[in-house]
Order: sequence, then C-alpha cells, then structure tokens
Amino acid sequence: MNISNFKKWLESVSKSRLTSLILITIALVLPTFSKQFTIGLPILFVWATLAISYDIILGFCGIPSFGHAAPFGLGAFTAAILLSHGHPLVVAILAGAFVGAVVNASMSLPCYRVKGIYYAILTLAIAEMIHVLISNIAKTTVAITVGTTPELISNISPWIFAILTIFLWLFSTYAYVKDIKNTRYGRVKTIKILVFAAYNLIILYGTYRYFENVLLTLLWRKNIPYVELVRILIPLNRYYYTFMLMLLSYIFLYRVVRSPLGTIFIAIRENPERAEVIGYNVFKYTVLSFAISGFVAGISGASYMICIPTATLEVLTVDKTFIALLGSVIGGLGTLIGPLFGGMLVGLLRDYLSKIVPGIHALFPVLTVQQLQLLPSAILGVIYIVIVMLLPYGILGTWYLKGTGVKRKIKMILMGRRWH
Amino acid sequence: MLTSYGILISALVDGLSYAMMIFVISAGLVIIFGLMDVFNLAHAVLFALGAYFFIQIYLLTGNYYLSFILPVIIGFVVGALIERVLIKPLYGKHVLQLLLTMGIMILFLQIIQITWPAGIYFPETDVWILSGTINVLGTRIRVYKFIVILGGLIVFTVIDLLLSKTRFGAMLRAGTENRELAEAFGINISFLFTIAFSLGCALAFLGGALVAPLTHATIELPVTFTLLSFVVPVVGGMKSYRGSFFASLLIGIIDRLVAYYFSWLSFAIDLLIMIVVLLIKPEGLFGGE
Repeated sequence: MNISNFKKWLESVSKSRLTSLILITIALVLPTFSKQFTIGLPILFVWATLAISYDIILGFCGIPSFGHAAPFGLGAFTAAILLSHGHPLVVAILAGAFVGAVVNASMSLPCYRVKGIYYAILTLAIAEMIHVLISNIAKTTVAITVGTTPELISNISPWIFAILTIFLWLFSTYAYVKDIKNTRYGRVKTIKILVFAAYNLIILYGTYRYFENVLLTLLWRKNIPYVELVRILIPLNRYYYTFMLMLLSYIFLYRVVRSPLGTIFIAIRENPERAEVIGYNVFKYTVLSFAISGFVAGISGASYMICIPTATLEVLTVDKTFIALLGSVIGGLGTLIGPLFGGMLVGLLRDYLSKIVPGIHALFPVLTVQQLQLLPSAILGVIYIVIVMLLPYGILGTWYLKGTGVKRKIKMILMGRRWH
Repeated sequence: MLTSYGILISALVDGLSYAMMIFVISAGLVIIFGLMDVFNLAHAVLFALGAYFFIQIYLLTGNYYLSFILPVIIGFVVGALIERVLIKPLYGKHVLQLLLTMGIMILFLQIIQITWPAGIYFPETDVWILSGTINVLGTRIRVYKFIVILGGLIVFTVIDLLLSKTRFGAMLRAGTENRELAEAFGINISFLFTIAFSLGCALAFLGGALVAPLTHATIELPVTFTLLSFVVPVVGGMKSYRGSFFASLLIGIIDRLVAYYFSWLSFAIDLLIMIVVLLIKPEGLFGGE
C-alpha cells in the first residue's frame, strides 16, 4: 500500500471515528477490571452480532423474515460439529458463516412470490419445521459437545490483544489531542480534556492490571498448573474472540451498508417497484442481502459456540429470531449501531432478570423457587410490550426523530448560549 | 384387539375430532388474523387459558355449564382490554404487532406456569358424555370426541351465519375491506374492531373450554398450537371462513394419520402443508371465493 494513501486513511479515521476508537479501546481493556465482564459480556456480543445481521434484511431491505433462527442455529451446529472433530476455529467460523449464508439465501427464494405477512409466517414455519424435523428424527436429545478448542487456551492471543490495545490507545490519543486542539469553545474544550484524562486513566490502569495479572504470569511463572492456566486464559480468549467477531462483522456490514449496494437495499425498502423500474434486479439483490445477513448470522452462531460449550437444539428455537428481531427494533431499524446495542440490551435483560430470583423469593415466600424462576420471563414479556408501545422506532430512531431539540439545547449550554 | 382396521377407524375419528379442535382454535384467529390482519401470536395462549379456566372452575363448582360460559365471558373482556389498550395503535404494523403479541404470549405463558405449575387434569366423572366410551365397529372411542366434532360444527355454523347473514358480519367485512370507505358510510370502525377482536378472543376461550376434557390443561397446549393455529387460516385462505373449515378438516385428518403411521413427521407435516400452500398458492387453497 502506498504510504501517503495510508497516512491519508489514518487521518480520516482519526477525524471521523474518534468515538468508536475510544469505545473499542475501552472494550479491549474491560476484562481486566472485573470477572463479571468476561463472564457476562461474550454472550451479549453474540446477540449483538445476531441483531446487526438481522437488521440488514429488516432494517435495510425491509423484508420481514421471522426465520432468522435457522441460519443462526445451523451455523452454530456446523461450527460445533467441525470443532468437535478438531478442526481449527477459523475453519469452523467460516464454515458456519457459509452455511448460514446458504440457508438464509435459500429461505429468501420464495420472496418474489410470497409477500408481506405471508412471507413472515412462511419463514417462521420453515425455521420451526427444521427444528421439529431434527428433534423428531433424532428422537434423543441432540447435543454436540465441543470441548476445549486449542484456540481458547492459546497463550499467544493475549499478547496480540495487548499489542492491539496499545496501538489503538496511542492512535486514539493522537487523534484526541488533535481534536482538542481544533476545538474553539472554552467549555467544550474543558469537558473534552476531562474526558480525555478519564479515558487515559482507565486505559492506563487497565493495561497495568492486564500486564500484572495475565502477561507476567504467562511470562515468568514456570510450571503453572494446567487448571489455573485454563482459568485465566479461557474467559479472556472467549471475550476477545467474540468481541473481535462482533467488531469485524460490524465493520463488514458497515462497509456493505455504506457502499452502493447498501443504497440499493434502501431503495428496495423504500419502493421495490420503483427500484425495479429504475433497472435494478430486485430479486437478485434481495437474495444477496439475505446471503450477507445469513453470513453474519452464521458467524454469530459460531461465536455462540465459543461461549457455550455444548450445542443443543435450543439454538434453533424461535426464541433466537425474537432476540434478533427485538434487538434490532429496540436499537432502531435501519441504523447499524442501534441494533448492536439493542441486541446487547436484550441479552442483558434476559441475563440480569434471571439473577433477581432469590431476591423476589425473599419477598414472596408463598411461591416456590421453581415458580419464581418463570417470573423474569414474565417481566421480560411486559418489557417487550412497554418497549413496543413507547418506542416504536427504537431508541436510536426516536433520537433521530426527536433528539435535535435536545442536541441544540446541550450545544447552547456548552457554547455559552452563543447561537450559530 | 387393535387390528390395522381398528387403528384406521380410531385414526379417522381422532382426525375428525382433532380437525374440529384446530378449527375452534383458529376460528377466532380467522377473524383476528384473517379479517383484521393482526399478527396475534398470543391466540394459542388465550386458547390454553380457556382450557385452564374451564377445568379450574369445574373443579371449584362442579357445574359444567357455568364452567363453560364463564371462560367465554372472561375471554371477551380480556380481548376487549387487549384491543383497546395495546393493539389499537398498531393496526397495519406487522412487525410491532408480532413483538407485542409475543410479549403478551410470554407474559400469559409464565402466568399460567406460575399459577398451575403441573397443569391441571380433568377428573374422571360419572357423566357418560364427558368420560364414557362408545364401541364403534369393535373399537372403543371416547364419546367426548364426538361432542368435540359436534361442537366444532356448531361453532362453524354459528360463525358462518354471523358473518354472512347478519348486519354485524356485513359491517365487519366492509370495515376490513376498506376502512375509510366504511367509516364514511357511518360505521363506527373503532368500536366494531374492538367487538370483533374480543369475539375472536372469546372464541379462543370457548375452544379451550370445549376441548379441555379431552386434552387436559398442560403447558403443551399453548406451545404446540401457537404455530398450528396459524396454519389453518393460511391454508384455507385468510378471508374465507368456509375455506378455513375445510383446511382444518384436511390438516386434522392428515396430521392424525401421519401421527399414527409416520410419527417422526408429525407436526412437521402441518408446517410442510402450510409452506407448500404458501409457495404454490399464497392466497390459500379455498381463498378464491
């Protein structure tokens, strides 16, 4: 690559992607702060990946497919089978992604004939039929145990991620300093400097902890017992792999959405007849969007197998479609960053609600613990209803619709009521 | 002795009663999903609630008629509440309807499981109609299966007459065909839709109460029928009441025969029929008036 081109690219990234850079760097040092993050976050990354993959077909192409559990589940199964036979992780992820793409693309084939609500129910039926057929034919419980893949206990990846963190930190600091220099208003500048200091403290402390707890242990201590090694490495690698898969999927989809191809998808969403008349082959592009979405859904299925060591038929249930659907609707359809956080939010709700059971049991001793275990799902149902009623455009969509006033007010306060 | 002949007879009677069962389940859905175009995932849960209420009231009072009528009234009220508060802002927005009704479904499903953790079973009674058996060509068959068949036929007749012969039916068909035009002719669409939706929910409760002595009330009920209840309106043609009756006959009998002879295909065959119908004739088998 040409050096001056690369420099130009770096400049543009540092200008326009400052917030993302900061968020990514913080996410990379997050596992050093608490065990809770490495335990809880990887599965949220999986749901986020699933939600952004779903957003391509519903948010950008405008086609309601309710069979998203099929590419996710079959991708997960493919990855699990390959992993259990000892194939490398990369192969398993790619295979899962391709299976997901093929499955989703073939599910999109009827969409030139079956439209709207009929198509929705058709895909719902197809996904459920795959699930029922597998469970009927297998007769026993289907479970593929992946075991410990060698990549999960690799002790090279912590080094790679340490280097990546430091690189990103330096880069974002450089960009941030430049940004602060270019800021004109005093108050904004002060706030930015404060944020910058906090950010640097977080990163410094995180990197220090990381070196102390992980890297030095790996480097200096001889004869670490295997059990302890596994205890340190597996959660860490799980976190980094799922995070990187989410990040790469996001970048991939972002490139797709911002390319001419993404514009065609939006054209199809807005008015398929018109897109057809202008000269685009709507059917071809719809299938393509499904293939792209299925590819990423397959990746999320494979990264689910990184988090959960055993693949059961549960990966194929309608539940997964609803996570994707709800995640992208909460986040805001038609944006990409919204579903990313929407998917994480849905996962967090499901996770967090199941942890409050003992607390409720103390309040209502009449009910047994088994009964109370169902209560979180009931609350989740209420949350679904409330979200649909209050935020029909999702969080980000509502912000785009109504946020300009708020933004203007914040700007006025920050700039000392000077008005441009 | 169960000969293959005996199996065939019991499969056929089973198929007929099963057909009527899925017909009464989807009877309400034909109004809600077929006519009013609301993607109501919660329908099967309402149906199951009907079954639970029926058995619970029967166990408490021992009165068959009371336990039959009360759930229907409860269903009507519940339906009216759901429509007024939740569904009303969402007409025409299918994705949001799906999410909303899924929320309702999850909520009711958990409430059912919390209230009746083990499900409740209809007790053996002395009443011949409820618990007795009858000998048909050498095969013993529950009498109540014939009652279910009869009940399904009655429901079909009543609904058919209601929709095709009364003023209410005409108004509803007009309102679902073209909302603005019907409003311009002075029909109170908002009230009409509330009544229609509550009628659909009441039908779901009625169906649950009707089949409860046969199926008992367990959590299997809503789980199995959530998707199955959609098969009938889709196969029969969304706006056609008679179509869905024939569709439920077709699906019920095929499903039971398959369950008797190729058990690995059961339930999948129903979805398969729906998929094939959607692919070949998206407007439904009997939809073309």
